[in-house]
Amino acid sequence: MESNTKPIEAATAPRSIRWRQVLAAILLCSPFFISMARAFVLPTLFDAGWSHEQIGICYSIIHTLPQLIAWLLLIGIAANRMTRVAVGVMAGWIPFSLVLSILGYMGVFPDGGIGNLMSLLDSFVFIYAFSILLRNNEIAESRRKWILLLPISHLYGVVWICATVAQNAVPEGFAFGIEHIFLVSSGFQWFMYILRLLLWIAYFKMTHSEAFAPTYYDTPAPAGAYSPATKYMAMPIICGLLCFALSWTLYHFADVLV
Amino acid sequence: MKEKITWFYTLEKEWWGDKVQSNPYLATVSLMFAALLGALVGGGNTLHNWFNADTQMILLTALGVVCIIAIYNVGESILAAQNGKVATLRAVVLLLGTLLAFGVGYLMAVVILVIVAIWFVGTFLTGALAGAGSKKGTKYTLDDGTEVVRETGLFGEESFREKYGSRTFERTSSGSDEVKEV
Repeated sequence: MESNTKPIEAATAPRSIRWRQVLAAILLCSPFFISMARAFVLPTLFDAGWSHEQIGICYSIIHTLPQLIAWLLLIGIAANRMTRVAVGVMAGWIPFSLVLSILGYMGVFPDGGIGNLMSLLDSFVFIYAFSILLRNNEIAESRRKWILLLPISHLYGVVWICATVAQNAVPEGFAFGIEHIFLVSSGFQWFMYILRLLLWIAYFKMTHSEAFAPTYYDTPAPAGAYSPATKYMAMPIICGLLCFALSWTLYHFADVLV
Repeated sequence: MKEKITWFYTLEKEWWGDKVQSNPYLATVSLMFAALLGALVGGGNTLHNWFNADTQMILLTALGVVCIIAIYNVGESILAAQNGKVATLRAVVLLLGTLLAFGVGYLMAVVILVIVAIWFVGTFLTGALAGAGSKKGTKYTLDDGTEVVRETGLFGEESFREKYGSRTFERTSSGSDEVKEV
């Protein structure tokens, strides 16, 4: 009975809201196509004499700008104060991480540690923002089960760090170099393509959900509305520890498996 | 089509009902992806061992990918379940289920390849060996008492070979009952 759970606001959303919802969803889906297009444009840019750093900076900007525009579009149609804060956190984090990544390309940070730290923080910031959005809106189950995929997709940073640390923690008799970490394998990339396919639906479900409506309810935030002590924030920690344990076991018995 | 990629969702709704609000596709797709990955690794490594084919896949990497897929599903379990018990149970089921799916995929690919190999050997190789040996053709006795065996070649050309000698005969003209020595 999914059709009955459709809220009246979403079904009769005025034109001014609807174009924002659709445009924001399309912009949030766009990074995938931009990263696909990069593969085709890269040889041309290298032929034209662009350096690795110049391409990196341009790509960072083109890659993140659509997401920033999308979140800014969504701030305007947030249904309540908590949603506005959640979207604001994401809209604020994106330029901050963009500036840091540009500085990284310009060689301000000599070692790669800041990049790892940023991807870890990126995971936690986005999961926290989505946790505020999910907890403080009465989202119908038909949409909720899709929007849940968005915080899950941002586990990538946590998983990356934990798998890398586990690999570095097992030095004895380990034959592979860092490039053989399974997160860069084609198998994992194919799984990410499938996940991204589901995320496109999730983004459309999110922008058309009860969190973004034509009417703004200016009620004060209830106690604990912004609390990070929730299962949403426990999720990356539990998954990170599990990832570390599993990867450590795998790498420890690598000699037997290979 | 939808039922085929949401069967785990149907199952978990039977087990836990409304206590879990998970995505209908992620868990099922993950399990099927793990099985497919297992089949690719198992089949690829078997073909590499048999024919030195360029299909080798690193088991360690594939298992790592399966673990990460399981972790994504554990994450979903934590968010989708209404209480800790269901979350833990679902996480464990999916963690073991993904690994099991990988193992089943791996074994199935190897078993199917072995069956195909046995069938191949059974059909083609025995056929070829039989063809290389003495072929049982229709026996004829010529007017002079010579016993000959009728044989057909690869392109249907007909010849009569002497049973207790080395002479070969063929028809004088097509459709004729008379034979001449070649």
